[in-house]
Amino acid sequence: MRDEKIIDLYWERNEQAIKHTDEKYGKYLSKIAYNILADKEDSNESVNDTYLAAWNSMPPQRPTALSAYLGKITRQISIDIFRKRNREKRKGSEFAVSYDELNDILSAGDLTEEQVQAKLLGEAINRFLSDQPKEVRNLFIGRYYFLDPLKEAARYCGMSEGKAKSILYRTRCMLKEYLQKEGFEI
Amino acid sequence: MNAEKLHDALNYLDDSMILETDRLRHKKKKTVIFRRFVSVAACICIVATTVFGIGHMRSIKENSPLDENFETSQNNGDIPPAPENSQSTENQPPAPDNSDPSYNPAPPTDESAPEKDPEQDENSESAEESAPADEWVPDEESAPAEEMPPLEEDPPAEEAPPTEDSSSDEKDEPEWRIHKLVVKVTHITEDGFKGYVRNENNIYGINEYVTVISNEREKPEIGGMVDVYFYEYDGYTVYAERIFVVKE
Repeated sequence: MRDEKIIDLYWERNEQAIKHTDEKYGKYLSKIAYNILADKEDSNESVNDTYLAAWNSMPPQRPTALSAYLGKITRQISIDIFRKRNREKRKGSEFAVSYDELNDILSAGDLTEEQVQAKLLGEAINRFLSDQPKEVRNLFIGRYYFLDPLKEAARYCGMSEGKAKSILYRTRCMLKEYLQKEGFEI
Repeated sequence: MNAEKLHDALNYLDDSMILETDRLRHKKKKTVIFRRFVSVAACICIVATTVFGIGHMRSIKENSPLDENFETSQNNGDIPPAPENSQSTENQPPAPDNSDPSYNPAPPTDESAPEKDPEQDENSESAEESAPADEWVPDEESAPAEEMPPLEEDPPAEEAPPTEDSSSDEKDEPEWRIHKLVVKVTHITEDGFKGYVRNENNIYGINEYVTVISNEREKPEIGGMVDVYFYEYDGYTVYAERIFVVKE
């Protein structure tokens, strides 16, 4: 089924939308989630949360690229699960408890500002990547957005693992310089 | 700023860039699968070609050139079927003896033998090379090279065994066609036997007396019938490739 029809089903509040989404993008989303969480159960949980988030966000959202839209949701949910999991691991440590408490103070009430900052940072990265050669851009996005293993990213970018590693290192250095020029504190 | 914030920021990447990379991820995977398929298919082709080649070579070795040529000539209908056992010895004239004055095989003389043609000699030499060397050994005494009948153009002498039909056939047909004779044995020699021709063929007439030179281990009995397959003849001397003793 085409993306437009799936989105129409979401807008019609038809539950078949989730079924068709799972049929078409289930594996794609699971791959993204698994790259972050490295756990099958957590990945399935993340994908299911993605469907719920999509159900809640459409309408009013009407994404032009459904795969990218769902991928972003899955990625963010998976990162949140990853952070939560790490926090639970640190529960036994008093340092971890104090770290979380202080972190809560620092970020309390600044959720909107954080989102704005993240959006500004994302736009800066967009501009930086737009100026990069296609090969570098694809490798960077494959490695740091899709979180594919270095070997796999190098393979589908058509280069050796060593070359991919050096390209990524140079790109990170260039991104750091670029962000510093743009006024971000690093 | 830390890595977490950078990761959060990456969620604001343009969809177009994400889709471009995603397309590349899937496209490259398919390419790899295709390459694997091609390599596997190439291996299968190599193995299949090798197996087929070995099988073909074995079949060539198993089918000797004699059998193949014989089958070809049989298909062309050039060789008449083997005579039935009705050609019993009772109906045949008595076997002549060398001492019998009535026996006159009229062997080819030097006068009747055509002059040697160097080209023909070359042909015959090359033909000898193509024939299996282990099958028979020509006897120089019984078949001198000077008495070789003409293979082409020059019509055979009157005493020469090939008939007019056979000479015309020789012009049109390949030189090394397999021939078959049915011979009634009258004498056993060291390197073969002698006897009368009992079947119609393009080279010898019925009841013509021939000397068959063969290195076959199985020797026929005097008075018995023998199927003789041969490539070459020299006057009345047949250089047999193979003989089959017809056991009644």
